[in-house]
Order: sequence, then structure tokens, then C-alpha cells
Amino acid sequence: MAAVLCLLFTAVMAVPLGPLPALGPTFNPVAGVFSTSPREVPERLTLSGLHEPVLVDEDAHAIPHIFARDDHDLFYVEGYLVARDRLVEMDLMRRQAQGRLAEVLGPGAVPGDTLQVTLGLRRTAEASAARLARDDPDTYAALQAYCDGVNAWISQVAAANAWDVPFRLLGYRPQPWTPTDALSIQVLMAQTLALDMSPVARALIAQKLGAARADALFPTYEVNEQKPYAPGPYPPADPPDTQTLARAELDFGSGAGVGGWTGAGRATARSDAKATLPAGKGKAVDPAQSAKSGAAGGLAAILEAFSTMASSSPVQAALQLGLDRIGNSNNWAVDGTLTDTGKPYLAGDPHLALTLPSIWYEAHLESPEVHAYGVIIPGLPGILIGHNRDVAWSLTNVQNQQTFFYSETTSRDHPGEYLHNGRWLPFSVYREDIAVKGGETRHLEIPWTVHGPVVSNVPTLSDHGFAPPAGLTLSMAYTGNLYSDDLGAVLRLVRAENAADVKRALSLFGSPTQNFAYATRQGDIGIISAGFYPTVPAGASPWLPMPGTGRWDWTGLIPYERIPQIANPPWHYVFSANQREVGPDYPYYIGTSATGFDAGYRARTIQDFLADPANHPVTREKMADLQASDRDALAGAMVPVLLQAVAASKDASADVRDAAERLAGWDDVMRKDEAAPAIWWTFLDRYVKDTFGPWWKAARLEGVPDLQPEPGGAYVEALEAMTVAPPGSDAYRAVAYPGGSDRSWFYDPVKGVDRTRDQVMVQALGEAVADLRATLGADANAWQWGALHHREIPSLTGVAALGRGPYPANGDRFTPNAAGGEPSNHGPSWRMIADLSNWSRSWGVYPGGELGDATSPYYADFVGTWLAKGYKALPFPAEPRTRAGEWARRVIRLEPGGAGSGEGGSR
Amino acid sequence: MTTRWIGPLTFLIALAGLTLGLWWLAAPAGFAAALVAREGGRPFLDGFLGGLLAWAVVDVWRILLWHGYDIAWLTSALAGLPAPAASVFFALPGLLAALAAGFGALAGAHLRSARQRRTPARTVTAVANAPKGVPGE
Repeated sequence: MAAVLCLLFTAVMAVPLGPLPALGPTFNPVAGVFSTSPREVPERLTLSGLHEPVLVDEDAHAIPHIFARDDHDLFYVEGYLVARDRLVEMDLMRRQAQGRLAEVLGPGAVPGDTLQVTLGLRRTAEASAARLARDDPDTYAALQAYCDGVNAWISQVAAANAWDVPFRLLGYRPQPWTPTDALSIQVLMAQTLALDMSPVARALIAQKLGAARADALFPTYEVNEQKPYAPGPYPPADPPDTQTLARAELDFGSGAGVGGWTGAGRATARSDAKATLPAGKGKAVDPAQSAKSGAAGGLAAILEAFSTMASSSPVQAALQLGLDRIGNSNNWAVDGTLTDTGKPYLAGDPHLALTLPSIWYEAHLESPEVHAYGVIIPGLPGILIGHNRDVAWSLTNVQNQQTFFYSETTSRDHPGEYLHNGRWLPFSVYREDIAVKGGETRHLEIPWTVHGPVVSNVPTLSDHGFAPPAGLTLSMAYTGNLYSDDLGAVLRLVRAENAADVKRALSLFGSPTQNFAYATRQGDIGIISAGFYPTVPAGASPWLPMPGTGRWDWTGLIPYERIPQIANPPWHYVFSANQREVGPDYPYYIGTSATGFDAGYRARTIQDFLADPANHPVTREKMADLQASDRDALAGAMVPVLLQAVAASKDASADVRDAAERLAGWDDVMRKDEAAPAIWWTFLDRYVKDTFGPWWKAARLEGVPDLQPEPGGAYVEALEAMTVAPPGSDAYRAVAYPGGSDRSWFYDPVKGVDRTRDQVMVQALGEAVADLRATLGADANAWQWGALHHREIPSLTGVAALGRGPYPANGDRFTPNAAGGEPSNHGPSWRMIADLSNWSRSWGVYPGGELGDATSPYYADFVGTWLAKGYKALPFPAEPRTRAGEWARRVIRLEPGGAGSGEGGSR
Repeated sequence: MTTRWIGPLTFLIALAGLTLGLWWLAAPAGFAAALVAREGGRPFLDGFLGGLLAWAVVDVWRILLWHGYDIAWLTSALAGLPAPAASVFFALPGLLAALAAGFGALAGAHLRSARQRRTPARTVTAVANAPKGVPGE
């Protein structure tokens, strides 16, 4: 009996129990999870991959300052240290990009993996790595050195059996880091910032509401006031650049990513045509018909399926895999004419998903050729946003159209084929496997056309109860599937010495398109909106799925010299905040108001501030004030009209008049401890829904994900235009009465009631007051915006205990201190102010900490500073400290030789 | 070797096992210690305490010098368990190992007793069967 019990207790410890791994091996205090030793980093170490000794000074926040004697060692050690601090994050990101999360997380991640595999990210990264080795060997060498550094750390961890806890719990070990993995991170960011489903969404709205209303709501040029950073005049359009497009085609797929373009010089020969369409034989499906009729359910199914798949795992949800491109950011530069130092300042704050660990890793890189400080995405070498000794730069998303959809013509007489340029072509079918932990491997067949992957028959549609959209074969042409030497551009940018170097470097940048604001020590400032801008034939409607017959294929790219850009404007500042970069006279199509251009309120606030002589000379502190601004420019435009409407209304209740009085005394700043911001935002939400909601309901558009009227984008642009323009004016009628209709947007088609704008505004304010009374209580004096609005920084793992917040928060989606969403887990992911008079006076902060280890004091140590809108200094010494002291908390010496051993030190 | 060695022996063998990553060695440790000890004593309690002490010593070492509690907290968080589970991660495996060691010691003691009971019988038989003229032992 005793022997049985002995064996029983031993067995209990040897097998997993529910959510717990096997207790014995996992919690063996010597060799189990406790043997993870992330804080035990040697202060002396030999690494076999180094050429020369390297010194690493770690500052008080564990940020490494790497001093190497050549670039190979610099990037090698960068890779080594990033892996030391963020290996779990790197591994999860590459798995997400490559559709390999289910391999370690189980069946729940299959939908998301299927989406990634269908879109071709894995293939793009593989082909890009092969192309990079051939076309840009210097960049590839730097990348390889970085990968070797990552792998040196992985080898050390393996030798010591000191794996991070997540690896132990999930029961796997990370594979070596390769250039393909690094470029997977790049294509993942492209997906986050460049992929959008708006043509599908808009087609659905057009089908339901009618083309006129869709066109009025999503015009090519926004209907409200815009602040393009490059207002023109513009030179006439040049012919499309086909050479760059030809170079960007990757060696897989039938025209992968080039949108069906068939010009000379293409990398992939089109020899796959099987037969021409015999005249009068076969019955082709007319894409125009399919778009009108059977496609409606299909479009809705695609949107819903993509939305479901994109949020199918905690990692994907946390990174907010971008289908609606909520990525927003600010940057601006002021030249020495307007500053207190006589040298430029540059400010930048990219708005991305806020996560722990952060998307950013901060570092200082020093070698004979590289002198750079800033942040980089873990898994990629260099510095993406920051400065060197001569130039500072920061990025915002351009938001131009980079995703195009084509409705392919198919026929029952030609199974497995589609019609293109009068010939029936076979679908190129790629077979992909998705390994599933605890389940069977999924075998997928992904068809591609000359335009790109077919997205209308994603295999998991049926897995999740969505009917495959019959009669609709929709393919996707996407710049993220092109070869884009973004890494080459970034590594040249970190070496740039002047504005000309910046412009040369950015000519390599492709996808995702980015507004690079820069400033130089010579005094130059500018913005270049670098990247790919596909062109289509005149008469095309790229804002909708286009017929895939060949008529509307891409014709090339906007030439680099003609993409949006500006240098040293006479007003002495440049700025971008995702607003449309150019004015209505710009001679190229770059997207509509539906494709993601910001409504422009942050841009207004920034320009108003920089143009105001009261703010001159601009100081570092004033730059910080602007970056932290919680001013809502839309409130500034709409609230006066609302107050007039309430004053003129006979129906306004005492509560409504009280709310209006509170708004009358408000300065449009979204402070968390005031009532007026809560009233404003609740009113705006109601105003949008009261105006457009009845139309959505009548058209049965309710319930379609990512398609509901909300206080953002084109909805507020149209509403602002209708609100600030006097009723009856031409400007008002152009927006309010789409296509000359006799029914304005304020008409309620459900009840059949005509309403005036002012009636809707007063009604919305009344509903807002009722909402606030229900939510925050009857005492309006106690209402606070911070009771409704919170910041949250979730863990990448989705585990609440490893995240931070919620915290009552200032701001909203229209304030420079961007805080959209509820809770707001998206916003300034890195705030930087570069002082070009003295680099060491620069400031920066991100809402996280340098280490991914949640037990470390450096896991989230910047969050408090970031929440308080503070900064930390960015020390930028030219020489290393050889002993700990002053700003250097400790010194790590890395020596060449050996197999990677070390001694001493704790972290 | 007296019975009071069961506990220390179990402790030493279990500790050596933990150090080598052989967490399951607590049970054989108790068994072996009881097997080699003399009759009597409290084999279960001695084995139990020996095994428990082995885990406790290393646990305390981990907690004090290797931020072991932080790691246990992280593990419980990632497993979706409440924070107090971190303490359980230290206590429960040690307790189970100690129980295994205790029952192992009990099993060892039983076996030893059985062998000892059989050993005199064999001696008597050997004497009885011994050729005449050969002195019995």
C-alpha cells in the first residue's frame, strides 16, 4: 500500500493538472521555472562571433549604450541584448507574422494563422530575405550579424537551461533567429499600418445605402477643413514609375503584390495562360453583377471573418492587427528661425498599440560609422526613430491606399481559372500547413491570381460558421507583398549626415508608407512621405473592389520625386498627424477619406500652435506641451454651433441647458477631472449615431463589424462640414443632401421623419445628459471625463495581472495626446523631442520598460513617467564609460572568442 | 545504521536529486534510506520530513537569492491563476514530494522488515540442512 501511494504521489507530480504544467519538473526549485535567470547577466563575457571587444554601458533604466569598433559587432551585440531582454516578444511576433501561433498556443490561434498564411506574409518574408541578400548585401550583412547575436543569446540560454517562463509553460524552445524572421517583423508592421479593408466595407455601404450616399460620405477629398503639410503648388504628374514596381515584384505568386501590372521588366514571367476565351463560349461571371447582387452577403462575410480572425489570439488582439488602420501618430520639426536655440527641434510620437512589453526597444549605437540613439522594434537592427549626430527623424503613417481589391471573373466552364486580359488563367495554388498544438495539422490551399491572394474563400470562413461567399472571387493586391528594402533605408538613415542623405536613404523605403519628418544640424527641416503609391488607370474606382479583367490593373507607382514631400517651407515648420499630406490639386490619386486619412483635428491643433507667434520662440518645454496637448479641435468647431442650437431651441430641458452652460465655459481641453469633456464626448457619440444610425438601420447595416457610424474618420468629417456650414448654404447642401437627394442625412428613414440639424443636436445633447446621469449619477458637478475614459496597457500575453491600468485619462482620439477608444490602449507609444543644439538635452519616454521579464524592476518603470506626460533624458555620450558611475549603472565587457561564457553580475 | 538516519539520508539523496534535476528522486530516497536503516523508528515521518526539508531548503534559497517568488507569481499569472497560487507552487510540489518520500520510506521499512523476518528463517533452515560435522553459523 505504501509503495502504491509513493508511486501515486510521484505520478501526480509528473503529469499536467488542468491549466497547470506537471508540478515536479516545472517547480523543481533547481531545474524548473526557477532556474530562469533573466537578471543574471554576466558583466564579462566572451562571444565567439565578435571581431573586437565591445563595451556596453547600461544606464539607470537598463538601456544599453553599445560601443563597438565595427558595424558587424555593433549589430551583433544589439541582437544579443535585444534577445536577452525581449526574446519572448520577438518569438511571439514572428509567429504571429508567419501564422505559427497555433503551433504553441493551440487551436484557438488557427483562425489568425490562417489569415496570415492566406495573405502571404510568410512567403513575402522568405522571398524578401532572399532578395535582400542579392540586392543589398551590406544591409543583409548587418541583418545577419544581428541574427547571429540573437542566436548567441539563445545558445547561452539553451546551454544553461535558463529559458524564460513562457517558453517553459508553453513547452517549446525558440528556434534560431533568421533574416526571414526579422523581415517577418517588418511585414507584420506593414500589415498593421498598410492593410485595410475599406474598399470592401465601402462596397457594402454603397450596395446598401446607394452609391450617391457612399460617395458623399467617403469623398476622394475630405469635406471638412484640412491642413495638408505640403499644400502645393505641385508639378504636373509624371508617368507612373514602372521600374520601381518591376524591381519590387517578388519571385513568387502570379504577380504577387503588383496588382496585375503586366509591363516590361517583371520578375515573374506570365507563361501560365492556358487558353483564350472562345468567343461566345462559356459563361463568365460579370464582376459588376457579382458586386451588385450576390456579393453583398459575401462582402459582409469577408469583413466579419477577417475581424474574427484578426482578434483570435491574445497576441493578435493586443497588437491590434490592423484592419481598420487606427495607427495614428504625430511628428513635427521647427527650424532654427523660430526656436530659442537657433537650431531645430524635432518631435515625434508614433501612436500604436500600447503593450507590455512595448513595441519599442531603446538603445544607443556607437561604431566608427554609426552614432545613433532611439528606438527600434525588437527583432530588427538599427534605430527606427531617433537621431544620430547630424539628423533627427520620426515617423507617422501616410494612410494612402495600399490595399486594392479585384473581383475576378470565373466560369463553371472553366473551373480553377479566372479571366484576365481576355484569357483564362489558372489560379496559382500554394499549399501551406499550419501546425496545431494538441490538434491536427491544417492543410491549406491558397489560390492567387495575378492581383494577389484570393481572400473571399478563406478556409476558416466555414470553420467559423460563415458561408463561403458564393459568386464572389475577390483577390487582394497589397503593397505589403512587394519587396521593400525598408531595413536598407533605415540603416542608411542612421548614417545620414544631411538632408540629401535622408532623401537618398528613403528612396528605398516601400511599405508601409511613412511620413518621415527630419531635421538636421545644418538647419534643414522637411517631411518625405516615403513608400509605394500604386497608380491605376484614369476612370478606375480603386475605393471599391474593381473588376479583375485587366482593365483596372496597377500601372506603376507614383515616382519618388513626386510623392508628397516638403523641405524648408517659408513658414519654418513641418508637421504631420496622419492628415492627407497634399491638397486637392495634387495630380495623383492616393486614397479617399475612407482609406484612413485622419480627420485632421490633431493636425489643426499642431499647426495652430506652431503658427501662433505667442508660442515663439519655440522651446523644448513648449514642444513637450504640444505633444501633451489634450485640446480637441473638433470640439472647438462644433460646440459653438451646439450652444446656438440649444439657445434657439424651445424643446431644450433644464438639464440640457445646464449641460450647454458647462460647455460654454469650457476651453476644449479634454481633462480627466472635468465634466465638460464627458458631456462633449457623450454628445458627439450620440450626434453621430442619431444622424447616421437611422440610415444604417433602414439599410440593415447594423451588426456588420467595423462598419458602424462612430465618432471618427469620414463620419465626423461629414458631420463637421454639415455642422459648421450654415444650413441652406452650398457647402451644407453638398454634404447633407448626397447626390442632390431631397433627403438630408438628418432625415430619419426609419420613422419617416424630417429633422433639422439643430433638432438632432439638441436631441443628442439630451440623450448624452441622460446617459451621463445613468452612468455617473444625477449630480452633474460630480461628473468627470476620467470616470468614463481610461488608459490601459495590456500584456502581450493577454494576462491582466501582467498589464497596467486602467488609469483615468485625459485626451481623446482627436487630441495630439491621442487617447482614442475605451479603454484607450492605443496612443503615443514613444514620445521624443530631439534638441539639435545639444543632443543630450533630448527627451524621450515610452509606456513600458526595457525588459520583457515581468518580474524585473525594468518591466514597466517608464509607465508612471509616461502617464504624467514626463520624459527622461536621453544621454548621448560620444565615448563609453569604462566603470560604472554617473549615468552608467553598470558596464558590460564583451570579448571575442570562446563559446559564450561569462561571470558575475546581477540585473 | 540506526533509524534516525532515515530522515537525513532521505534529505541528502533528495537534495542531490533536486540539484541534478531529478525531482522524482525524493521517493526512492525515502525508500532507500528506510531500507538500509535498522528496524524501528518512524519511517514515514522521517522520510516525509527529509523530503520536505530538501525541497524547503532549495525553495528558500531560490526565494531569498534568486527572486524565486517573483517567478512563481509570473508563472501563476501566465497560467491564469490568482496571485496566491505562487505560494502554492512552492508548497504543493514540496508537500507531494515529501509524501512520496514518506510513503517510500514506509515501503522501504516494510520491505526491510519482511527481509529481516525471512532472514532468521533461512538461517534456521541453513543450520538444519547443514551437513553434519559442519559447525552452524
